[in-house]
Amino acid sequence: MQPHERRRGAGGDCAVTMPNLGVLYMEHGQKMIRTAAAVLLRKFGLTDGDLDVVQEVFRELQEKPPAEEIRNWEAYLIRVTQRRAYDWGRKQHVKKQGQSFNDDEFDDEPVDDASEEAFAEVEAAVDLAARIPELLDGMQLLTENERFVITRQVFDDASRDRLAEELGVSPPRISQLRTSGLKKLRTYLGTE
Amino acid sequence: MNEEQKAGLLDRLIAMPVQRTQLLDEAGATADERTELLELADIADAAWVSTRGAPPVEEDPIAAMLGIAPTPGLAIDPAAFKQARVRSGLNVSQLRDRLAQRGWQVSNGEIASWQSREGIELLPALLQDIGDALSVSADSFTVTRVSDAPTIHTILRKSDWFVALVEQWQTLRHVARSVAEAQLLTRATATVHRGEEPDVDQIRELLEHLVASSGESGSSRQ
Repeated sequence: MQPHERRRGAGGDCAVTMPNLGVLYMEHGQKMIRTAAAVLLRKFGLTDGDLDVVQEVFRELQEKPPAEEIRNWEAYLIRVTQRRAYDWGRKQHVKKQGQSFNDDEFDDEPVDDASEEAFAEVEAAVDLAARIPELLDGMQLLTENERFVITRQVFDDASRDRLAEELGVSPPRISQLRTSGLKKLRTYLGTE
Repeated sequence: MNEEQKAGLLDRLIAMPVQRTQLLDEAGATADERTELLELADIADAAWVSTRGAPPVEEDPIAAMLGIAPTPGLAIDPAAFKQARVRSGLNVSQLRDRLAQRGWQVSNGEIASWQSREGIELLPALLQDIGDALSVSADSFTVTRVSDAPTIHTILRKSDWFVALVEQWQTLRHVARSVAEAQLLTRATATVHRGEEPDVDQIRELLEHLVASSGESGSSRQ
């Protein structure tokens, strides 16, 4: 038996079975990874580290399961992921800058205290990301060039200058195509 | 702000998500322009976030760590499993319910097939939970079919250092030997990129680090 995955209720005599961590990962891993990605991107401008964050969350759960019974595992895992992503982002920032973390450099408050708004913003980004399959349907509304720019710039991270060269247009034209494409997608998703 | 200026500003907002407020302030954006540009940046962020996700399970280090990456060759032994279940006093439905408590959705029919069909391969984490439910080691009802083909799994299984690491991992993680071996094998496989020759020294270094760091984190809390 894995004692760290089993625990007893507060009363001591009521056995509480914790879900298998592998099952939890299969059910919620995708959303956790996207949550970590959203925090790292929006709060720290980082485009990697999401898998490291989620791995750290599960490593911690293996070593030290929650003391209380968890009634909503998805909410719990997302919240822990958000916090760990903040921690990870801060560590990377310190490594990069070679200095201590200064929250004033960022738009939002530190994670420990008044961060509900920051969490809500990240949750909104993740919820929106969950609608991207729908968004891909919306891509059909775009012109060929708009679709090309959105796909290559947003999904493939291609630079504006490179796309300008590929399409034979000016870099500002690439920006215009992206803006018009994003506007159509916003209308399609009904987020305006 | 004209449309070209807005498009240029949107470029910068997307490229520098942390500095959005500052960029909008510097550009002197109006409230309406702010709202519009931030909404568009949100769409771009969401599109990017949607591209993030777990790698294929056989390359996923988290799946390997949690024992949910398939391990070719690790199968249930029908007769031994049935014997263990009967000895435990659990009928098929009771075992199904125990597994459901751990989140596994298996049917009575599936459990029955584990008792009757050879070669059914199950996830290491599920095997461990079956063993826990039956109060026996998963080793007692699993078989490992070792292929003669020189795969990375067969190379590792024949290595003394790997066998020693499996024993350590088994102790550290309180799992059956077969499960410990499966977890380390899938972890090793996750480091090998498709089409590339596996580097055994590199795998050894990674697994030794994994086991050592797990041991350290366990002892540091005591």
